[in-house]
Amino acid sequence: MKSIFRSLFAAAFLAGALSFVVPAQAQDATPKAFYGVYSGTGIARSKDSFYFGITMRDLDVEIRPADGGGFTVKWTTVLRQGGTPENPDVRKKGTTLTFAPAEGGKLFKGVERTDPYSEEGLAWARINKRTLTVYIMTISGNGKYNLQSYARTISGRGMDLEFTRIKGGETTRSVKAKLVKQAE
Amino acid sequence: MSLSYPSLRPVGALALGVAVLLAANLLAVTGSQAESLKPFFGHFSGEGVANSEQVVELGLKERDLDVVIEPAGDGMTVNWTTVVRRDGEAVKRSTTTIEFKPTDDPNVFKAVGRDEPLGISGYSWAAIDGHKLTVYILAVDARTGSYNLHSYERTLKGATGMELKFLRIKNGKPKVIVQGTLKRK
Repeated sequence: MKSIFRSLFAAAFLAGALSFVVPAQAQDATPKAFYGVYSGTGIARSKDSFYFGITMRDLDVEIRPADGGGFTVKWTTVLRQGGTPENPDVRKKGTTLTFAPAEGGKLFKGVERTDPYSEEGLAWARINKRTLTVYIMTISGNGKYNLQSYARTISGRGMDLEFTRIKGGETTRSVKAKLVKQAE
Repeated sequence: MSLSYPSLRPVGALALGVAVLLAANLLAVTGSQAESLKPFFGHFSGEGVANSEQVVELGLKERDLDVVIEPAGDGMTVNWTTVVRRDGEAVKRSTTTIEFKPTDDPNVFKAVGRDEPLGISGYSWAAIDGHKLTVYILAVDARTGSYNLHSYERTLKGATGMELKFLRIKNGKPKVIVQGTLKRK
């Protein structure tokens, strides 16, 4: 009898706890939830992956508060593609973007990147539930666009990253990665 | 040796000549932009079919398509109307008009009044690639940050035909694709 009461109490406690957790998860996170340093490894695929295989990426990202309620995202990608298995071509790319909040609260405007025709392009970010997505759009001299999105979702131990690049309506590259939080 | 006023005259004439040549060159470039647009000017109408899962489920796949492309200064105005049909009956009608002006790139045109990519007006531009004129519209929702990117590819076919391919991408995912065939009226 005692064990039945114990089980009922445990079930009621769990249900009560879930009623607090579920609505909290359904709400949009604030930039603060993403602050920290994360690193990990990802797999990149392109439309040529069937012929040339997938490639690996080492990824680091640091998200910090910026003036006026905004935030800065600084990320580094180490690409290993081409070359030979013994001596692969290694390239390192780094990007830093600062975002300021727009009136609605969910849209953040790229501070330095406001013109899609410029080399740096247009940048904006949005927070939807526990995902912070950064968009960078550029329009080239022939009028064709290149739209990159970095969706970073907070997970238990760190962050899941999904990168996609759309050119002319087609997804030409995607990267999926898991990052672990290294520092607050 | 100091230069007297009369001795500057040949320099002035040379400068004037260069200015005239530059102006003529600029006019020639502007003219060539209009030339690349000319084949698209006209009134086209026809029919199309939407093939996204959602619109097919709702029975909203038939489209009546109409587009008028006219000169506007050195650029153009594109006016298009789409009628959505269900079982032959018109259920929705939408019309869009955008004026485009030339840019430094001879085959790229910027929309007049739609130059705020993260603002209410949105952002629009057009590009010509051979026989294909593509109009793009980017709209970012200020409340949610989500985006819609529309592209209308209009390709001239023969002397009187035009093919339309419309694509709507919402937050990275293709949502609606319409393909249609139009004839010059």
